[in-house]
Amino acid sequence: MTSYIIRRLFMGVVVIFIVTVIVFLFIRLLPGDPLTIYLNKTDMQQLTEEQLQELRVKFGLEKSLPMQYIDWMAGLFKGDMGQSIYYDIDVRILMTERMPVTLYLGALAFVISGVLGIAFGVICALKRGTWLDTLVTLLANIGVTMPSFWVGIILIYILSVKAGWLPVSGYISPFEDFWESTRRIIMPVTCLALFPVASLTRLTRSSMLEVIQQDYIRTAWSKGLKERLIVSRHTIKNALIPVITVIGVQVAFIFGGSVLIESVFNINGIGRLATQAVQNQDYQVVQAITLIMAIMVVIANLIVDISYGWLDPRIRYE
Amino acid sequence: MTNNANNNPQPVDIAKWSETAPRYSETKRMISVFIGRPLPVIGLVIIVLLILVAIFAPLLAPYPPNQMDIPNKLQQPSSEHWLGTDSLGRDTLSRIIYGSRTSLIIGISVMAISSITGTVLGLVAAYFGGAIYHIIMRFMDALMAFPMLLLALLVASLLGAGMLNIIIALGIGMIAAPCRLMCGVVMSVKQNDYVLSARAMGMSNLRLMFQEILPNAFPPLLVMITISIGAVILAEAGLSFLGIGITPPTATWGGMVNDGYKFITTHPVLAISPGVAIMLIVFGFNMLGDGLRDALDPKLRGVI
Repeated sequence: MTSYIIRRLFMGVVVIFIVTVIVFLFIRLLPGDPLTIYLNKTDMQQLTEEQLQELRVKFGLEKSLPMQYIDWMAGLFKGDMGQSIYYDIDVRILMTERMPVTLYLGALAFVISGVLGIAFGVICALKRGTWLDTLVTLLANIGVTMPSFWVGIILIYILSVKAGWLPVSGYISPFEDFWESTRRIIMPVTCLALFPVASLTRLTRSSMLEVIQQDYIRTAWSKGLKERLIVSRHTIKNALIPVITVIGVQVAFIFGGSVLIESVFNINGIGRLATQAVQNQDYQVVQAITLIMAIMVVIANLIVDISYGWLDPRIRYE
Repeated sequence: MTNNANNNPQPVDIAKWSETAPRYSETKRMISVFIGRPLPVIGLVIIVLLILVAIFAPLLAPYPPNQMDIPNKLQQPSSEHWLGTDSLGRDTLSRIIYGSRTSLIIGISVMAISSITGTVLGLVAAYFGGAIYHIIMRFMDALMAFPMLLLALLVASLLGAGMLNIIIALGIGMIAAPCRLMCGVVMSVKQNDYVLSARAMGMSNLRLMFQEILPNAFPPLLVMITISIGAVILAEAGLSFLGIGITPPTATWGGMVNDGYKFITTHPVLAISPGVAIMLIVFGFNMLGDGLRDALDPKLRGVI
């Protein structure tokens, strides 16, 4: 088991290394020069070649690509994420400002979608054929077709514009004003969680229905086990295996959704920052954000792989 | 969603068992499973209708999609403009009708590119194993670790705007799923006796892969492709919503939602109607995919 985890960790490091190389090259291959964008912003177009060179040195842009990559990596190991060209501040400051917002919304959406999606799926499967199953399945089928940003706009129209119950947009830290913060995150979190809830419901339901037909479930019934035990220990536990598999995908998906949702609701998280940073060719910011996201997805997948062993003892870690 | 036929056991008809079971061809069985359920049929109908709409858009649309009519901008829905007009006076319904072209072209061509590339990579990785397997699969893991939207954003910024570039950007983002699926199927299929015997007969690697292994992996791949088309259309809508990708004035549903968002308080129909179109097309592909999955499910053999 330990050797398996070490091997998986090593694989995770390789994956993250590939991600860093891809993002490093892609962002530097973009046409245009980040300095031009920075200079346009600061109205300093009339710079002499020497002053430009000074700026390049300041942001480490004068070196060759491999050297820039080594600089970035060396910096990371010292806890230094580099300097944002566009904002002209330390990327760490940007990250500590924006990261908690996205993480807070994303973690809420993640937990809600896990709990509701699995609960709905299990209920549907146990009550299959009833009106409840039909209704929830239909809603789940519709839920996976709705673009999240569009749902956000509809929610704003209904709950803010028409009913006036919730503020249109913006974000306030829950530590500042918990009530106001909660009112503001209801809609974004709903949008982020909608697709994951619906797809987990569909997946859990069909997985449960597969398992219910298995011989070992019939055996459990004929042994005279209590229904609760059969459902909880035999059915749900086995039905969850394919569901757990998609959790890593879910993490990446919620991050992707935050790119859209943060721009709909005017929230200053890393999703919105990522869009802006790609457009401004803010090298270090794009690199930092993708690196952080990739690390989280890799960790989520690692947890998934390890939890298989608990769910399905047939899986051996060799 | 799956195996509804298995879930509701019918009372056993003894008379049926006394005779030899009627022989059905596999194709007939698949068709009967498929049309035996309402949702896949609805999905198929939606897609066929939308394809027809896309082909005959010039005949169906009441106005040219990009015809500006500034004096009549931001009209509420009326008998002349069923869904009103946008801030440039363009007819919303006509733009939605033309937008079906963008969505269908992107959805289908992205999956064509990514499934062909992904399938070949997956096939190669699983068939040869070893270092090749590790290199390809770690790259796929890396692609999966990117949020797809961010990856598409990077590639689209790199290549610049335009339909073809968006197709490439989304195509790269979608390679990992078919590759992994193919890899998994091949790994399990390649141990089967018929593959071993084909190899014993001296079949070349290439022929073995394409003639013996690929057909067996085809059913799950087809289901995945169908459902992924819906996902691609959603992702494209997201990119156009962010204003990246297809250049205006080409009508895209995501871009229309973004334009309409500015007028949500006064003209909600501008943002809402293209979203309904997105839902409809994604629903169609998802239901078609679910129907295909049940129809191609060998476990349902003999049930119907």
